[in-house]
Amino acid sequence: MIKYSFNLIFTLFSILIVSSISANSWSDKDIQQISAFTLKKLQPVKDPSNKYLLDKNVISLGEKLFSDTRLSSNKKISCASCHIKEKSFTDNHNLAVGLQKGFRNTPTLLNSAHHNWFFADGSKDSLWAQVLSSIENPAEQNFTRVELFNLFINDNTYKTLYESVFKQSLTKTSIATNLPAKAGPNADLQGLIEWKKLNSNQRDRINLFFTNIGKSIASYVTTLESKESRFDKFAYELSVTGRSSLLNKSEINGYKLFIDQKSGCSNCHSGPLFTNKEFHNIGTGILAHDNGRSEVINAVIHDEFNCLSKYSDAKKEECVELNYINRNKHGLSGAFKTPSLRNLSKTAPYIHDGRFNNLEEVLRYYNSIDEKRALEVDLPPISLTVKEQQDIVNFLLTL
Amino acid sequence: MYFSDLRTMIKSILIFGLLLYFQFLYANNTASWKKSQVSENEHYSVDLLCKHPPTLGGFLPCSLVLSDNSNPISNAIIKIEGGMPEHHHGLPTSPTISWDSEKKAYIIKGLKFSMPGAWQLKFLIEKTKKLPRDIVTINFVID
Ligand SMILES: [Cu+2]
Repeated sequence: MIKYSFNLIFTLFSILIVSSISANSWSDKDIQQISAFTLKKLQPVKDPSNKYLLDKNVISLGEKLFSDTRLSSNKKISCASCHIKEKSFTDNHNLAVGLQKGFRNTPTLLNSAHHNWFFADGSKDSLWAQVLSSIENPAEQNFTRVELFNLFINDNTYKTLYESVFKQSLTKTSIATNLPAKAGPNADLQGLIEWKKLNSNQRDRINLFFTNIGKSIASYVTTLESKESRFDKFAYELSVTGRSSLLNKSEINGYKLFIDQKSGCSNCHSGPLFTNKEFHNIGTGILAHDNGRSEVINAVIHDEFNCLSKYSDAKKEECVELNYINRNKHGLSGAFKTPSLRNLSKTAPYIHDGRFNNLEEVLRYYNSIDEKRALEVDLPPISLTVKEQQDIVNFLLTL
Repeated sequence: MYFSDLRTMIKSILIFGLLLYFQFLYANNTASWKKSQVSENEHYSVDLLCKHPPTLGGFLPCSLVLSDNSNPISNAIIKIEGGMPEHHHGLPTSPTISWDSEKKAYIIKGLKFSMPGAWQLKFLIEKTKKLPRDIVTINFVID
C-alpha cells in the first residue's frame, strides 16, 4: 500500500514537472516565428530616389542641418527641436509644436527610413520629400527654399561642403541677379508672389538645390536605427539554447496573445519593425479634419518631389510603390500607416494624433471594438481581459 | 592505366554530383507557385503562375494563362481585384494585368499582400465580340 502511494505520488510529481517544463518550452516553429520579429531579419534601407543615401559627406552635411535652427522663420526651430535624440527622436508631446501647434504626434525617427511612405498618412513617398515638406510647413519650420539657398551662399562652411559634395557651385548670382530674400510655393502670399516671378529655369535650379538638401538630411536620418531590445536578446537566446529567461511570464503571455487571432495585433504589426508599412482604418480618423490616407492619394501622385519627379534619382520602374499605389479612396478612408512598435517604452503618447497617453489606453481602445464596430473598421471584434491587455502592454515594452 | 581510369571515374561522379546539387539549389531558389482554376460559368480555365508562393511584404511577379478548352486566348480584357474577404478589405496596391505577346501570357505587376490569412484574387474577363464575360476566383492562405 505504502509502495503504491509512493508510486502514485512520484508519478503525479513527474507529470507536474514535465508539464511545467513544457509550458515554458518552445517548438522549432515557435522559435522561427519569434525570430521573424527580430532586428537581425531587417533588410538594409533602399531608396533609389536618393543616390546620396550612403555618401558619408552628404550624411555629415545632413547631420549639421538636422539641428540648425537657422532653417526656420524665427531661427528657433530645427528638425531636432521635435525629434529629440534623448527622447528616441520624438518629443513626448501629444501634438507636435513647431512654429505653431500641429495636428499630429511627432513620430520617432529610429528605423523610419525603412518605411515606404512618410507621415502618418503617407503623403510623401520618400524621406527626403518628407523633410522638405517639414522645412516649408508653416506649422513646422515655416522656411522657404529661397531663404535656404540664401543661407547657404552666405555661410562659408555650408557653401564649401555643398559645392564639394554636389559638384555644383553656389554663388549669389548663379540663379538670378536679384534673388528675393524669401520665396517658395508654400510660402505666405508675398513669398509666393516672389516665387512666381522667377522663371521656370530659375525655379528648377532652386528646386535642385532644395532637393539635394532634403536628400542630405534624409541620408542622415537613415543612419538612425534602434539597438537590439530585450526582446531581440530573448529571441537570440532562444534560437541558440532553446530557452531564455529574459522575458517574464506576463511578457511571454503578452507575446502569445499578440500573435493570436484573439487580439489580431500581428496581422498588421508584423516583421522586424512590427509593421506591415501599409494603411489601415482602425477607426481613429476624423472626417473633414484628418481622415488619413484617402485624403492624400492624389497629392502624392502629383507631388513635385515624388519618386517619378525629375528631382528623383530613381528609374521609373524602380518607383514600384508609387506606380502601384492603392487608389481605392473608399477603402482607405480613415486609414493611417501602421506604426512600428519598437521603442514604445520611450515614444509615448501614441497613435497619429497622440490621443492616448499610455499603452493601457491604446489596448483599452482596441478592446472597445465589438461586432458592430468591427464592420466599420479594419479590425476584428476584440475581447481581452484586463490582465490579458496588461500582458500585451508588458510585452510591447520589451521591444 | 587502371588507376587513371578510376580517377577519371571518381572525377566524373563528383562533377555529376555537383551538377545535381546545383540543379537542386537552382530549383529551390526559383520554386514557383501555380494555381489552376475554372471560371464561374466554366467558359475559361486559368493558370496563375507566380515567382514564388505569396508572402508578406514585397511585390510578387505573376503571370496568367487564359484558355478555353485548352486553347490559349490572347488579348482578352481582364481586370484584377482581390483582398481578404473575412477582413472586408481589398488589396494594398493597385496591380495591373496586361497581355504580353512575347511571353504568351497576361503579366501581372504590382501585386502585394499585407497580412497573414485567407486571400482571394479575382480575374474579371470582360465581354467582347468574341468572348463571353466570366469571373475566376483564386483562393489561398498566407501563413
Ligand atoms: Cu486583412
